[in-house]
Amino acid sequence: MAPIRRRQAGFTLVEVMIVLAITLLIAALVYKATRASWLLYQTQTHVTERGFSGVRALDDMAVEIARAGYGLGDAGPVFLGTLDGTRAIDAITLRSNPEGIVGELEEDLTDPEQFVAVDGAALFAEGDEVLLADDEPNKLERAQVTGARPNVLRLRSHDTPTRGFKRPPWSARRTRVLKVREVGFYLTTDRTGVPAVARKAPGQSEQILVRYVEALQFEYLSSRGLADPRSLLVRRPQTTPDGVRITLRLRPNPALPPVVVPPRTVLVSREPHWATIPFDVQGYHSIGLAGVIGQDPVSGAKTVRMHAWHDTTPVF
Amino acid sequence: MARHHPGLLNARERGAALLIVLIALAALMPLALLLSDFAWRRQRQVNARQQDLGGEAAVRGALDLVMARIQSGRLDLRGPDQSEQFELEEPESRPVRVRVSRQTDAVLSVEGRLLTPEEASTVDADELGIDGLGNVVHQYRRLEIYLVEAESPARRPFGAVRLLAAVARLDTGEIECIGMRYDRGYFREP
Repeated sequence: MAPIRRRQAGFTLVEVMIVLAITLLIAALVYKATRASWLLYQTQTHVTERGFSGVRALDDMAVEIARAGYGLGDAGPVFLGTLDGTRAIDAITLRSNPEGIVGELEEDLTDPEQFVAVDGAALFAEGDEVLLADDEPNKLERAQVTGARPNVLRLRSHDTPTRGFKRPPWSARRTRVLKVREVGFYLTTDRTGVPAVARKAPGQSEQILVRYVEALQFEYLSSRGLADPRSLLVRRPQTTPDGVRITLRLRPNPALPPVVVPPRTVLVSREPHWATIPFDVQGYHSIGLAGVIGQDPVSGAKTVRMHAWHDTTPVF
Repeated sequence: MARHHPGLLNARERGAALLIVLIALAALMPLALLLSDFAWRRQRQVNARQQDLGGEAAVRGALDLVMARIQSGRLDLRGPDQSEQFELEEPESRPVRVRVSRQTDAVLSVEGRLLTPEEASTVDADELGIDGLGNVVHQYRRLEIYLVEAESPARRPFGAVRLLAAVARLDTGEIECIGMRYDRGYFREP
C-alpha cells in the first residue's frame, strides 16, 4: 500500500521546480520564435507589397502603352510628359481613340468661332477632345469641340492661349478630326508628401498607383534602336511597332522593417494599330489604313470601323 | 486477483497535460495562420501575374496563326458574314477559343478614301494609272477585312484575356493587321 500513498501525495518541490524551469525555457523559445516569425512575416509582406505594387503599376502603364495610338492611325500616338511635347523622362501621356470616332473636314477651318461642315459630325458631342491631323506630315493640333450640330462642328485649339489655330488653315478633305482619349502617368507627391506614381484619365480623378517611389523613367525605342523621344512626335510611314521601356525604382516603406527593393524594368511593344497599303511597286503612293473594333449598339455584333489617309504625298 | 497497473499520469495530471497542450496549440495557431496567409497571398499574386502574361501570349499566338491560315488559304471565308470558330489545341494547359469572321470588303482609292459600298460597286478595282514619274499605279485596292476574336477563358478567380484584331488581306494575298487590342476581365458567352 505504500507506493499508492506516495503517488497520491503529489509532486515534490524538486519536480515542480524542474517542470517550471522547463516551462520557462520553452516559453522563452516560443517567444523568440514568435518574434522572429512576426518580423519575418512583416518583412516578407513588405517585400511582397513593394514588389507587387511595382508590378501592378508597371502593368497598368504597359496596358495603356500597348493601346497608344489605337484608332488614331499615324497621328502621333505617343507624347511626352506634357502635352506640348516638352521632354520629360518621368512622365508619359498616351493617346488613343478607342471608339474609332473619326470625321473629315468638308470645308476649310480657320476661325474657332465658326461652324464648319464635317463628314461624321454626328459622331461627336460638345466637349469632346479631338486631334486635327492633316495629310501633311507633322501637322497636328489638339482641339476641343465647342459646338456640335448634325452636320457641323465648332472647334477651338488647345495649343494656343487665344484658342485660335496654331497652323491654319486646316484644309477640307485633307484634315481628319479624331476623337482622343488621353491617359497620363507621372511622378508626383501624395497628400502626405510621399513621392508616388499617379494616373490621370479623362473623367476620373487622379489615382495614386504606388507610393514611396525613388524614380520613374521612360525610354523610347524605335525600330532603329534607342531614339530621341521627340522623334516620336514625327509621323513615320511605317507599321513597325515602337517600344517604350519603363523603369520603376521603389523605396522601402519607412514604417516597416527595412528591405531591399530591386528596380523593375519592362519593355512594352506598341501593337500594330494601322498599316500602309501600297498602290505601286515603289511605294511612292501609299494609303494608311486603321481599323477599330467596335460593337453595334442594336445587334451587339462586333464590327470593324476604318479610316484612311495619305501615307505618302502623291506625285501625279 | 488481477493486478492493477497504474497509468503514467493520474486523472488530475492528465487534465493539466491536456490544458498545457491546448494552450501551446493556441499560442502557435496565430503564427501558423500568419505564415500561411503570407504564403497564400504571395502565391495568389504570382498566379494572377502568370495568368495575365500567359493569356496574352496565347491569344497573340492565336492571331499569328490565324493570319498565317488566311494567307495560306487554309482559312477560307468566301463572303461577308461568314465565320469560323475553332479551339487551339496547343498548349493543352491553356485553351484558346478563336472566332474569325469576314466583314464587308473595303475598297481604298489612291486619293486616300474608303469608298462607300455603292461607290465600290461602280468602280473597276483593277484599274491602273500612270503617275508623274511614269510609274504604274493602282487606282483602287480591294481588301478583304477579317475580324479576329481570340479568348483565353477565365479560370476563376482569374479573368479572361481577349484579343480583338482587324486584319486586311490585300488582293496580292499579303496580310496586314490594321488594329488590335487586348481586353481583360469576365466576358459573357456569345
